[in-house]
Amino acid sequence: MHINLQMIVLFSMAVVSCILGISIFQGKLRGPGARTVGAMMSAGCVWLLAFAFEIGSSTFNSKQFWDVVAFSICIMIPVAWLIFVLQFSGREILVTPKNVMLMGIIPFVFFLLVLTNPFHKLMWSGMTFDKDGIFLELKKNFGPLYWVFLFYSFTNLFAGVYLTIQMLVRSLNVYKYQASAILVASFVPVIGVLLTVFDVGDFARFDIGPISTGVATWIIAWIVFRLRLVDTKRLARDTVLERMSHGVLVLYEGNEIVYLNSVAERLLGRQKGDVVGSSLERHWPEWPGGCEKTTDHSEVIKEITIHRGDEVRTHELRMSPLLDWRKRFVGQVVLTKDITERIQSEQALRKYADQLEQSNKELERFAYIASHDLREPLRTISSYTQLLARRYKGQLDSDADEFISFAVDGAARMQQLIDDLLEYSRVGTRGKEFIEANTKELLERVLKALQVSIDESQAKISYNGLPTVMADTTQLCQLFQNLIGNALKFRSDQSLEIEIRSELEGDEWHFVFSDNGIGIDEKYFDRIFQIFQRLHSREEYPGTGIGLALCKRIVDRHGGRIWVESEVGVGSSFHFTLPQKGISEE
Amino acid sequence: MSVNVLERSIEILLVEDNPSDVRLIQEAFKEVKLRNCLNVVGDGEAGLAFLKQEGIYQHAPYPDLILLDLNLPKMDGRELLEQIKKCPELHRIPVVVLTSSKAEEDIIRSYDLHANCYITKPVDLDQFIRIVQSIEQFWLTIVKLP
Repeated sequence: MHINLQMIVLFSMAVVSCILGISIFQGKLRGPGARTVGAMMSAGCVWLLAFAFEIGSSTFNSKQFWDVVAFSICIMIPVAWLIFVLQFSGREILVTPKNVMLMGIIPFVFFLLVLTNPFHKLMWSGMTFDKDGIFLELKKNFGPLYWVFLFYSFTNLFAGVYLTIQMLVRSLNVYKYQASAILVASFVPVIGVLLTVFDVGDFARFDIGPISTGVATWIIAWIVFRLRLVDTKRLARDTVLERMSHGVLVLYEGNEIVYLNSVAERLLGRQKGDVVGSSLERHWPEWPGGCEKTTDHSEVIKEITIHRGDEVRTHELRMSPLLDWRKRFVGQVVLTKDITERIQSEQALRKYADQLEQSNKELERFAYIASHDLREPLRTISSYTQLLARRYKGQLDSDADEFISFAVDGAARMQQLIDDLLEYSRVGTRGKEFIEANTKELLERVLKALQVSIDESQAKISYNGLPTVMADTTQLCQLFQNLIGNALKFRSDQSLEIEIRSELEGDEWHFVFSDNGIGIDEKYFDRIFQIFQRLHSREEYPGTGIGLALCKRIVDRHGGRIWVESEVGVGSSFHFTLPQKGISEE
Repeated sequence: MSVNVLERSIEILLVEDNPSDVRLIQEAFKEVKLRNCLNVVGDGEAGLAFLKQEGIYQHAPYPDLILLDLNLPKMDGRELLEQIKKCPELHRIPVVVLTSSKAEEDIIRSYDLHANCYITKPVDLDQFIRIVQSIEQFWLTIVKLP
């Protein structure tokens, strides 16, 4: 064994590669494809060592032995390189145990060919011991299979280069630096191998194949570990995947499990290690089938119920297809979400809504029946008090006349209240279907009906921009009539002006009925919309206080809002909105 | 039967279960010019017996006009109306439906059953009296009946 400079270089490189390799496998250095880089690093290390020993060997046999070792090792490197690029460029999904096995077949065949070379001499022939100068060198005549191997290696190399260029073109700027560095790294061994193989210059004596490969693996290690942007992203992604409340399952073609997070582990009741690599159907009897079942491999959303003992839980599964660059279906990602609580609360909510609707309906029915049936005895009271007044007014004493007149008045007022209550309850129970309603036409109809009072108060009424909406026309008329009726009723001393306009705001029409009447104090803004609430004595302004409550109920039924803006002594503006498209009833 | 109606008193059948309404209608008819005789029964079955002169109504007069309430015990007004209009001896008698119901379906159903007119009882006494007078004037003086 002779030691020379070349050997020292090779040994030192081997040590560096060895340390890096160990660090990677111990998990001190992490990153995308780290384990593959570790494997490449170890292979490089062994190659460097074998080559160093080959150089240092003084006998033909030991030289030949180390040569075979070195060659056997370097066979692995092209495949490892390709796997690394796949992982690094985000195609980890393709790196399944099955695929790695398949990719390993060719190198394995070459390995067998190298071992059996003495029998067929297809890899190389006529290995001679060349005592040229100080160093003893092996001279090889490469056989046809060697060139096949070289072709295979370069195919792998360029496939990797192609994928890297693709990544360079497609990916974000932050990764471009790394992709470029990988390209540089990939060309170092290419040049090295070419120089050696084609005996260029002095390199024929100094095989730089292992050295260049060693350097290339260092560069790659540097890329992976120094520029850890991708790593951070990956760590973040792993953390997100593990911490998220959704279950995540990544399935390869044939529903082979590639990845699952801890939520999915719990869902399946299995550990990662037990299921990765085997079919999902085997481990999950509830699996309803995903994208693979659809003809166009589109996204599928399904709900399944899972019984675990007494507990029944509902999960939503969202299956998204994974397509390769040729848009072929290669697998799918399954997102699972426990929606049991949501469904339970939805059911509870629906139950409450139903109950509320039921009780509202009952209340409406009650109001209707009450007001309807109250009319009958009330009519008797009012008829007979009126009959009393008619027959006996002036025949009894003045007290009796007064009492009778109070009774008549009270009965009449109660009659009005009951009529109003009936009207109010009818908004809900006797409402008609929503149809296209031309509000301008409806308003003109209302103005015609109010003509006498309008003339009497000499009101000036202007309107413009009134749209067509989806509404119950009868109720819309009631609404307009009440608002204009109020304006006429609560007018001030100055000549009354009423302005009606509307505007489209978003997806609803905003109507405004403005007047210059007596106005309303701000503290009553809410109260005026309540049923039978009045702000004035009956002597000042007659009425039961139903009008605005009715307006509110009508607007509510149409899915709108009603409010007032007003200043005492200046005037009032009644605002309400109606959805442009109308709402579906109940 | 074109006897001069003025020579005898007008026979009116009132089918009404509410005594206060009966009295009110009686009071209203008191203020009417025509000499009239208001016969009152309290339910639909009695009404039909009266018209067919059955049982205690054996000697009941043949009415010139029927005032019919819709909501009655035993046989209700709608059913009685149907019976009257089905019976060849009775279907020419004008039937005025006089009820407190304002419901659209009651109005339509009554006319479908060939009621001659439908009137909702007004709340106001003056109006009530006016209506009774109108009934009297229209059906018993203006309209020519067979």
